[in-house]
Amino acid sequence: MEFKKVNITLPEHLFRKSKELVDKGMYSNFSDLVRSSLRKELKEEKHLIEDNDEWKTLVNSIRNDLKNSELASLPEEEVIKRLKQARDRIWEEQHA
Amino acid sequence: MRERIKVVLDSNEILFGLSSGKPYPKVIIDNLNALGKIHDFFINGQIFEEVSRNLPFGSKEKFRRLVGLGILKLSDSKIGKGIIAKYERLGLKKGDIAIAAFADRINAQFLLSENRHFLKEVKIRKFKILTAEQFFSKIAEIS
Repeated sequence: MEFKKVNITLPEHLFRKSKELVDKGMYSNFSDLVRSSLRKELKEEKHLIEDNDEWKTLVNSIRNDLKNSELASLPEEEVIKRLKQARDRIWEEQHA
Repeated sequence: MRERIKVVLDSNEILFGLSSGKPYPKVIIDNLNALGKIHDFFINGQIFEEVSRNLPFGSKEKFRRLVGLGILKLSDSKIGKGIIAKYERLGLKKGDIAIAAFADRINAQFLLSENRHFLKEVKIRKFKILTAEQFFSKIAEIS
C-alpha cells in the first residue's frame, strides 16, 4: 500500500482531545486516529449516498406507476378531496 | 450552529411530490435527502396511511420501503388526550385533529400542506401552516 504524507492544521482543542485518545491507548498514534476517523467518515458518506440513490430509484418508480394511474388525470382539488376522505375514514376507524 | 427545523409533511405534499403534480412539492420530494441534512421532516402513521391508500396497488410496497430509508421520519410519538382535546376545543374536524395534534406533540415549527383551506378556520399558535413554496421562502429568510 502506498502512503502519502500530509500536513494538517487543527484547532488547538481538537488536537488536545485527539491526543488524549492516543494517550489513553485507543489509537497507536495520531496518524492512526486520523486514518480511523477518515475510514468511519467515508463509510458513513457511502451509506448516505446509497440511501440517496435508493430514495431516487423508489421515487422514480412510484412516479412511473402514478403516470399510468387514475390519480394522474385528477385535478388538484379532487386529489385533496380524496386525501381528506381517507383522513376522516382513518380517524373513524381508529376512534370508533 | 444553525437550528434544525422540524417540519411535518401533509399527505398532499407527498402525493403531489411523488406524482410531480405540483412543482414545489416535487422539489421537496426530489431533494429530501439533502434537505434532511439541514432540517427534520416528519410524518406520522395517519399521514403514511393516507398516502398509501391513494397510491396504486404496486406502489404501496415501494412507498413503505421509501419511508423505511428514514430520510422522511415516520414518528410513532404517542399523542396525549390533552393535546387531542385542545384541537377538538378549537373546532377542528375529525382527522385534522390528529395531524394538528401530531405537529404540536413533536414541536414542529411548520406543517406543509397544499390544501389552502387546511386548518385555516382556526388560529393555531404552536406551528405555522405553509405551502411548499412558502416554506422555501421561509428557510431562505432564516438562513
